[in-house]
Amino acid sequence: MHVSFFHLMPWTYLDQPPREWPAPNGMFDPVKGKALYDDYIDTLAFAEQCGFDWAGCNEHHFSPYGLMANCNMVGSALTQRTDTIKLAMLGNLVPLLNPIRVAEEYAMLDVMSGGRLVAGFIRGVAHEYIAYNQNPDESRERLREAIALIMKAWTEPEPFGWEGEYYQYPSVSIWPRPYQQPHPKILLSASNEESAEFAGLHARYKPMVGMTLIANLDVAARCLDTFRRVSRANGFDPTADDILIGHQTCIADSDEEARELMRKGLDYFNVMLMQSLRDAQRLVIAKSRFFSNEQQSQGFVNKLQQLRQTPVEELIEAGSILCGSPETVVAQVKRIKAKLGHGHIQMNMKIGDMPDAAIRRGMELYRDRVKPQLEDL
Amino acid sequence: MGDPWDWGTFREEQADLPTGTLHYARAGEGPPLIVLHSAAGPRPSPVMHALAARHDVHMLTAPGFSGTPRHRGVDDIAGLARMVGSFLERFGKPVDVMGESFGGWLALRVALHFPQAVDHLVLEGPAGLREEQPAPGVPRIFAREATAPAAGPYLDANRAAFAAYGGGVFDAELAGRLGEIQARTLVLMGTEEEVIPASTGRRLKAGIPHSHLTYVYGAGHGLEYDAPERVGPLIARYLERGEAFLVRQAS
Repeated sequence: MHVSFFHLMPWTYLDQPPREWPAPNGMFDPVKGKALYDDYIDTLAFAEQCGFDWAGCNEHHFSPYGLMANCNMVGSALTQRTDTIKLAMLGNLVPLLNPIRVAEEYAMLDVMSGGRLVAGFIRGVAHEYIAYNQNPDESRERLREAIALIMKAWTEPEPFGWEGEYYQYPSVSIWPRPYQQPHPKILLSASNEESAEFAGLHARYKPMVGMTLIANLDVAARCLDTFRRVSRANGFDPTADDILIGHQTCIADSDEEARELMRKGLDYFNVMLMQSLRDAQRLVIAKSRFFSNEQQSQGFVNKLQQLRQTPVEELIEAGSILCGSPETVVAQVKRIKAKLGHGHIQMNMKIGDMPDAAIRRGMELYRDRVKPQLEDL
Repeated sequence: MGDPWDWGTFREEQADLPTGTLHYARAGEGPPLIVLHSAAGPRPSPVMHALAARHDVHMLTAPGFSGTPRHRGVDDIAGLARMVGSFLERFGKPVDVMGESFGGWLALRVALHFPQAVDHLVLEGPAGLREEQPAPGVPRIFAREATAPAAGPYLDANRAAFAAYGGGVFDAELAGRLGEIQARTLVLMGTEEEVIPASTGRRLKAGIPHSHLTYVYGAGHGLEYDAPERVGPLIARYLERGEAFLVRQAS
């Protein structure tokens, strides 16, 4: 089993939730922000010493939910702080961005890190389409074309032009080109049926898929089956290693301590960080074809609502989170693996405002007592 | 013209050449544009109609295609190129030449052997440079079935004519002499191309001194039918502006 350490880089100094999204940035204190970036980058670098396979981060806009408007900047810092751990950008919100710039920045990260980039091509959550003023209806088709364009930019040895539906570039030849050949490992979302099928249709690039915010293991298993089936129909047979399952994770010395830490962290996460996002998300989902049908839209909204209202014990049971002593967490991982057949876990350990000392302790417990038990799994 | 297509303003004309009578369809006014067809034979695609709005389009029928007789001594791609070269003499100045698939191969040969006769060269999924074996299975020609043209009455005969001129081979002489081609060249390849190997586009871009390789997203081999709304304006822009087609203009 491969295990990633993921960081959302949340803002932890809120004593009341922002009244709206976008959150007024007067609430952001740059001096405290500088200290947070230092701590968070230290923590991500520490993940290498704890034996995690990847250090992961992602992109969000206009909110205390996450302080990475561009996760490639954090990835860039990590190229200078780490030697072996893979740097997983999970990922750039490609339909919102200039795909050529994404190709270039990812290639820079890959070369600067000596081939350690994992390149996420992510559609993003709905409200980000307000942030960058892009049409949510076009999000999936933009993603599809942008991926094709980025792969060309990475692999074409000669300058080329691109005449697309959404993107036109008369002459492209990125410098640098990526370190990994023929191209960096890419990761797509399989968090719902539509995304899982979309990922399977990209079989020619042998993508990994990632799935987070699991609310129900049976639903998750069906999405992964869709990915595997569509991939095989298109000539790629994914292995366990090609499937990453993300969990909010708390490892502590005892089950009780872990659950208490998780409860408090989730309180902050759900109220302070998530509350103002929800209205904006709902607005986009209701007023666009961000999801292609009502069932997918409602499924997403219901899932978030369910996750928000569910006690820690039930979240563990549902396979949403990993929480407990090292031995308990190992048992939880084994149970979920038996159901989903994945070979890669992503641990998001900074839940809300959970104290950094507790996270460091959790990372050490992972190193000493969880990792050895998962190596042969 | 005995086929199911809408030829619009195209009319049949012919020219007497030393090797025989050359048939062609002609429409539009403006700078001459010589069009060399694919192995399917000449067809009035939406792109042809669009180009006829600003060019004097001459869509030549290679002898032996679409029920026309073969020409004396015109037995291979070099012979075809000589025949096209003799037709180009009548313009008295360099003209733009474009070719699709088989016609792209022929257009490359024309540009190689008659550098003074060719101004811009536009190639759509050009044949003639297949070094590797084709992938197993039947390649898909059109990525968008809904807009694919109806099969014409000469489809089988035209494929036989294509085979008689050498078919989908590797033209080693051409490959070795790409550096001699002086025409400014635009190569179009669909991102869903299954007939022509991807190496063709790269080889042409690397080999022809003044060349551009542009991928048409979502299009297969049948570029003019899969993405006419992008292919037509792109070619028109290139023919009008030359190298400056790289520079974006106010829309």
